[in-house]
Amino acid sequence: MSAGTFEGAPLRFADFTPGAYLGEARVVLDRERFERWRALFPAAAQVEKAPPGLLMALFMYGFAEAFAPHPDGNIHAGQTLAFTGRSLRAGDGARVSVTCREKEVKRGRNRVRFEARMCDDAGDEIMSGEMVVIWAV
Amino acid sequence: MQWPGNLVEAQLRASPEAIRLYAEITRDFNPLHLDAGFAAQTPFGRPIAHGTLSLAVLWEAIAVTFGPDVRPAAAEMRFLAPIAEGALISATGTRAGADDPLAATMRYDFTVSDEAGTQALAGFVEIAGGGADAAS
Repeated sequence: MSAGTFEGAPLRFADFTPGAYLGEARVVLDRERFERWRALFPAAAQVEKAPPGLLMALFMYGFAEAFAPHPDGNIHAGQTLAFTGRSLRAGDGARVSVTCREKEVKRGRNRVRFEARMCDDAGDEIMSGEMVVIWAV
Repeated sequence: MQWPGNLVEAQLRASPEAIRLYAEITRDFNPLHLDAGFAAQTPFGRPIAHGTLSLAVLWEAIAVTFGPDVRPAAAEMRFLAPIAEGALISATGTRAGADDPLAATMRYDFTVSDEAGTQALAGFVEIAGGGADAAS
């Protein structure tokens, strides 16, 4: 599997190879995202830097974009996270890169473990983590 | 830094509007979250909130407890059950060890549940004391 954004049919469980780099996506913390976040969590109104939940949302967006398209019906089953303490302000960009670490069929479900990392435009890591996804197809 | 025994509980109603906002933020328009017709054909039977929207309520609990400058350093969790559209999401946590004002980080075991008590998310978070945001 090559890196980058895919078009066409959704990726299937059979498409993943453990150890394979899946791609990278650039994401931007645009002001609209920040405003929507503040609509959800008004306590963030006075915060200039993205709080952890908004970083996580951006991280998930980058994860989805780095190797799209994902099939409908995927389920997020588990997650580890490590935060460096760096954050982003409205208008800042970041890159999210994703690698497939493991896949298995467990109790009849297709489980894929991914590693993802988000770095700011200077290349400094903001956060990283591993997520287990029940892949729908 | 003092490490309280419990996180202040935070809550969010998983209204259709809240789920839609979160979908727009993450650009995750999985119909499992947004399309009642699609969700009705799945084992969930109705739309469910994004798992990381439920997790966001935990980050709110941390912010309410410690203030906006205290950040998570690491976390590990399992998504145990879905939060149905319309449910009230609540996040709570308990300090896993003895209070130690000199500790740079402290572990809290947490759960995120709906109002029926169904655990949607469980795990632990390590919280870094003040100054964790200094790198940015």
